[in-house]
Amino acid sequence: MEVRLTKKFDGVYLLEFTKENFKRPATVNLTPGKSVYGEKLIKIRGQEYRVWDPYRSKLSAAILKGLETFPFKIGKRILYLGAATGTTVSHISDIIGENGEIYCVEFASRAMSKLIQLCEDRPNLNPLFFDARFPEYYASLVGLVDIVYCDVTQPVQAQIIVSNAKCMLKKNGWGILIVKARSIDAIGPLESLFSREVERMKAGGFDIKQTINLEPFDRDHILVVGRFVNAKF
Amino acid sequence: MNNLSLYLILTVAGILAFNENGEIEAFAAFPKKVEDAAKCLAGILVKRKFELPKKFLDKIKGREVIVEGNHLAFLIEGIGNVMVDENNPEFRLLRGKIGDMLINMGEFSSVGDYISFKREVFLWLSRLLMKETIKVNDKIIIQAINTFDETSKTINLLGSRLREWYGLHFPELENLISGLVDYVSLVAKIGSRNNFDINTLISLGFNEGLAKRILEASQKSIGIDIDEEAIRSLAEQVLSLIEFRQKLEEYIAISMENFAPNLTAVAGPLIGARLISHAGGLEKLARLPSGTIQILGAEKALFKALKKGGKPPKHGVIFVHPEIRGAPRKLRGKIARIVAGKIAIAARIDCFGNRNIGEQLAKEMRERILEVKRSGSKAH
Repeated sequence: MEVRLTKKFDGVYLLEFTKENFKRPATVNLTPGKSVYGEKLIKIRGQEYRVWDPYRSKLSAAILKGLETFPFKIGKRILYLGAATGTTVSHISDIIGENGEIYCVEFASRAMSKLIQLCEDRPNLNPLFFDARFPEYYASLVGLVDIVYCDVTQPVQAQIIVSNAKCMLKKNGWGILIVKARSIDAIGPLESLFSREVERMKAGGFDIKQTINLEPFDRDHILVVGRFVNAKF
Repeated sequence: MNNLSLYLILTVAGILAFNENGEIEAFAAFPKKVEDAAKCLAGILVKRKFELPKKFLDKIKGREVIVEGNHLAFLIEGIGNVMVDENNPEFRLLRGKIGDMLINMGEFSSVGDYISFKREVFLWLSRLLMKETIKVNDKIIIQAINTFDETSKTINLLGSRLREWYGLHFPELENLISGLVDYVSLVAKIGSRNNFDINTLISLGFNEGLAKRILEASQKSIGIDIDEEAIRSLAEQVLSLIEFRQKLEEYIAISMENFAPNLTAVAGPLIGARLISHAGGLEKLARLPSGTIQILGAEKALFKALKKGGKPPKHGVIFVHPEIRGAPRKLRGKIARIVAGKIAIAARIDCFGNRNIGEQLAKEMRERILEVKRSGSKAH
């Protein structure tokens, strides 16, 4: 297998599989030898890289679709809402290194049981079995963070990232919101939730920097990146 | 000192009480052992139980205490004046300094010490909280979805009645506003068409152009005068039902995510819940062949076809799934079959298995549907 490795962002690399002619992002495995969700592990010049599947992780899809701002760096603190079983979480964990911290909020018990195991394996992960709609319950347990990443399967997504940011996101911190492009369970006419949610995010104090359609990797979602500049407290 | 308000926050090491000057006035420490600290936290969050030490209580007596969430109000009840104010900016300021403050107080020797204690507590706490989760079972989901559908019917019924009644007073409005929520909000918030003015209309969300047309129509209307009290009351009731339905939808979504995540990923929480309700339980649904799942909800049409020999129904409850409803008529049968097939697999995994592959199933389903659409359009 012929692979070419280039650096895309701090901690994020691009693997070009020359024969098969496709690209995949990759991160350096914080826990070498362990695969989290069945992803391929590739050793190049003594480093083990984890292939970041864009069909399983929306952040990976966004990178391949031209994400320009990538706030995740070594030592950063992240509040991740809707951590699920930890697919995307694991790659961010690789990127921020041992001294970074990710606070993983997830409310579905089946997902949380898998997530707890992942958190036990990696020293920079903290599991929080809380409902992201009520951040006041866990805000002082967490403290202030540099980035809020929100991927919850709720109808009112923007409201959730805004209320969490107001509690815990540092001024000029980054917010990343996954918005459904259309509702899966509409009663009545199908409407585009997208523009309404983006407006709500702006009204909540975010300066929107980029919106990325995730097709063909994910047909239903759009990733929105914003900076928390006009925070009104 | 005693005139200043006190702010209480809940940290992993204990409850801190600050005054407006940022000075720590009291601290109710949790045990140093991680497991016990987590138990204290779980006690507070779930059972609203915690004994504040005497020194702490003495500081609170007779003062105004502001807490960051209603989960902490119980601590103060009966002892002092408590106010819940999640958005108070003081709390944000304090959150940035918790680690340093605890270290200064001697609770931790270093930042690394605090962070690893925090993590251990979170690991324990998450396990404890999971055990306490209200066991969601299908009986609750069935009641919830039936309530949801009945509420929808009631909203539509009363909404139509409202249009008829208000239509006596302002018949032209019917043609200007098609959405039920907008119509009902308007009647509830403004009432008689004599009260309409451009600013109120815009504040309700109508764009300037539409607001002007509504205002004009209200002035030229041929409708009769009516007493607005009763009809505004009706409109308010409908609005509150709409809000209730929204909350119920969120509740069903969370319950279904927890209870049947694979089914939820493939069919969505509402359709998934309806299927469970129709079958009489998740296990009953899981044991049905996919052909039956396909027409669950269309039994009347099915038996009519069997008796009289006409065409059987292609879909029942699953009809409203966007992949089916949005598809061209000629392909709906095939697509309904595909969707029902994936639903059957998802329900079986949720009932008998332990994996969460819902997203994968949904993806496979969409790919198969795309194939059908492509070959369907070629044939025509």
